[in-house]
Amino acid sequence: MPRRKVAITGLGIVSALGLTVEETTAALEAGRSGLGPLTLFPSQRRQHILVGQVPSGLTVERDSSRSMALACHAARAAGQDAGLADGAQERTAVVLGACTGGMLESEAFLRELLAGGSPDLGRLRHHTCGSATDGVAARLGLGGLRMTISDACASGASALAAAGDLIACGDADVVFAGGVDTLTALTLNGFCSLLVVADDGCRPFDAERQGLSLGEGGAVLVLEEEQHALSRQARIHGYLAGWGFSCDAIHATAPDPEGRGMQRAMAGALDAAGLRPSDIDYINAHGSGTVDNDRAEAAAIRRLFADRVPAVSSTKRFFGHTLAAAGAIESVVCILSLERQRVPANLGLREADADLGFEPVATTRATPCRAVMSNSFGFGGVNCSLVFTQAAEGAGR
Amino acid sequence: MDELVEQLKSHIIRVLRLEDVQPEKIDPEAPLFKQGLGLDSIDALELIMMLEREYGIRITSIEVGWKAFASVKALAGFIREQRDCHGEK
Amino acid sequence: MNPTVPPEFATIEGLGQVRPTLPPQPLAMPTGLGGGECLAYACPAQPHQGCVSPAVARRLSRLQLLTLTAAHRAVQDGGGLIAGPGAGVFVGTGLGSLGATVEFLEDVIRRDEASPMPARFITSVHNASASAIAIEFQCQGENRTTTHDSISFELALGQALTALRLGRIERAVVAAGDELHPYHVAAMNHCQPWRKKAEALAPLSPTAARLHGSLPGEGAAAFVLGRPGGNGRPEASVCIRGLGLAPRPAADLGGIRTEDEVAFLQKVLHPANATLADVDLILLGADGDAALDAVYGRVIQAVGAAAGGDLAVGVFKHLCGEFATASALGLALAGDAVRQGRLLPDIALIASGRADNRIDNVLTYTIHRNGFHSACWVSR
Repeated sequence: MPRRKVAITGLGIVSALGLTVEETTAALEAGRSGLGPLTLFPSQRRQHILVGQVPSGLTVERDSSRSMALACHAARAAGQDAGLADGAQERTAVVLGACTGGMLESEAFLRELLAGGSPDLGRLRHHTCGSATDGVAARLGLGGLRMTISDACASGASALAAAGDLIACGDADVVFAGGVDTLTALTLNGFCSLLVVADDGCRPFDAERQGLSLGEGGAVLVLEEEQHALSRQARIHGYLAGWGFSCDAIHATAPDPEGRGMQRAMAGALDAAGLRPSDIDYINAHGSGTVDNDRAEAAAIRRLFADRVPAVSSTKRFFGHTLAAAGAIESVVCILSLERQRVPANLGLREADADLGFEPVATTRATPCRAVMSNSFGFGGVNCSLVFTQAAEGAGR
Repeated sequence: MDELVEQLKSHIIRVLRLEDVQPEKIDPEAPLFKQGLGLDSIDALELIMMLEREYGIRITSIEVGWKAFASVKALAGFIREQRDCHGEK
Repeated sequence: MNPTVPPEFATIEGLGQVRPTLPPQPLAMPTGLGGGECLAYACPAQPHQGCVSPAVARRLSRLQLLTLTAAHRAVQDGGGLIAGPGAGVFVGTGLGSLGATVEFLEDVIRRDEASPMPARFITSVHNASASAIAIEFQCQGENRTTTHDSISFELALGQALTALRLGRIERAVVAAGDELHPYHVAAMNHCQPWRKKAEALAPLSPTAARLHGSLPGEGAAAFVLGRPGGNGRPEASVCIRGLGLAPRPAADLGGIRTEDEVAFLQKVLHPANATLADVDLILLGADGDAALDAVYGRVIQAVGAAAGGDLAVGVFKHLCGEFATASALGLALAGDAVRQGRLLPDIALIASGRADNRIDNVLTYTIHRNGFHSACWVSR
């Protein structure tokens, strides 16, 4: 039986760069960062940090949460892009990555409770990570399997991989897959407690990088079995051609300094796609901007790609680190690079770390792209890499 | 007996949840990390926050922390030095 | 590939459980959240003693301790080492390390964000359990955590079966668990399903009078799964031969049609060439709630008819109370029963059927309040 190919027929994205794919593309082209002040919730840290907060214009409906609103916004856009009308898609599955769920609303509840109030317990109704996934399914009328993945900062990529598995194995024909997270006091203070939040915004792969910047957002991609997409004459943006996983299994937060686990995830994704390292034209790095991550990821890239390292950039200074949304947002960036044959800048780079062994993409520029890779690495040493290929004939074999 | 050293030992045991460690078993001159108590980078971050909470001393990078945490005695010296620089809090 | 081998086919090489201490004890609700108390099924305060070393345990959350202990028991039961890039870890949890999350956040709010403590934050992430298991056993293969209310475990199991089936891994540790926390109990109390007032102080009983709602619990279960013919234990003869997860309209217990449920269960058995007549025991996720019991009752009657009568029916939540990943304990009990070839005393029979005979095949079946129905086929 020939392997079922996973086509991408719809894109939806919401982030600090805007509420549409067009706004995202314009910011990537202009090299305009989405980082700015935090206004979403009260915090002493406002004066000291920059975050990637979604601009105003997002509607949070009643009986919803910000996470759910972000997910629904991206999913609706993806559905429209794919030419799939809302409602009555009985077998369509929803797979989202999420780390914080309705934590933003739960935190407001907790503040009120600790101040001596008696907040309404109903406000915790959307606390769980699965709530946004259920919200997307209910609001868009998607009646298939619902699944929520929480693999820390690799959640979004892991969700796309899980959706790819569903299609490849014949368990689904159409999957709305992606990731979502909001800014929260939990993650902001958590990363600050680890001393990995940069004061003036993240500068991935820079010699003077000081850490990451948090962001929020959501991205949803419509993944569709190729024949299913062709039979309804859907426009195919590209293919999710392979995915690979690994776990460092050495530390709760820090990566293996040698990046051996990262390398295995990248190699696994290439292997699954039937490609060699030399087939990859662009890597959207995890590139969080922490010293530990960037050093380990660079080591992994050097070993896997040897003397033929493709164009590499981290787009974290555009969006901030959007945690579970990151893998999905960066997948959209990868698809755009395949469609536009342009790779985005490694924004924030002043002078590349001399130890990298490669020079990240300085400004957004034209580059022939037939196959690209997206890396997502998270707490617990979880690594997930995705490989995307062009819609037209080219890299696939 | 150095009171600050004894105080630090009890803070370390409490913050790092070293429930099976007796204060007298901690050698004030022995390295805290890798060998000795076998602590790691997360413990170092916990101790950095402990210093902020208990002594009002801010450390903003883990590299500074590594030097301060060479041993309990070194940590006591670091705290005294910081107090001398910035006055008693 | 042999077409008669069903796709969801994995050997259970080891099983581990962490269960509450019986009988359940009263749990007080925070006064700001309405106060009051209800019986709750809590595991021992130190579930990991003699299993996880103090050096490792000191920084782990309660959920991590529950799941890591279950994993230790499963690995030990499965005959030892599972390390390397071919070993995956798959964890399901409804709410993650809720206690550590609350502890971290309350501290942040009370101290106005001054000097937050990192260890609690690190353990608050949902995949902290999967990470701890991977580090403990050096599992370097794929490491995935699913969290979707009461189907979190089923999704984790499904991910593991897929990874085994596609050959990405050779063996998997699948674990699931949730920890009891007053905030969660209070929040759930708001939208149902716990017992109210006096009824909340009567333990769950498989045979007691019909009461509204269930009682909260906690626990964890873990499995070492292998591929048939893999490098695992050749003597492992208990297999997962079918897994089904079907979405149904949420919160519409009255609208559940028995013929749909029978068809669903038949579909789960079909890849293994089994029928309802092969079922030695059906183990239900019934949790003592009268409304849910009534639905299970209707379905079981229809399943019995389809099976040709004499169906043995068991329940287990009087052992652990209700929590998002309780179905993992159900599967562990089912696996253990098949391995021992007999009905275990822990499983309470609500219909004895042919249960005096050998137990070679168990079908677990759960109706979830979030609209999903799940079933798993365990047999020799």
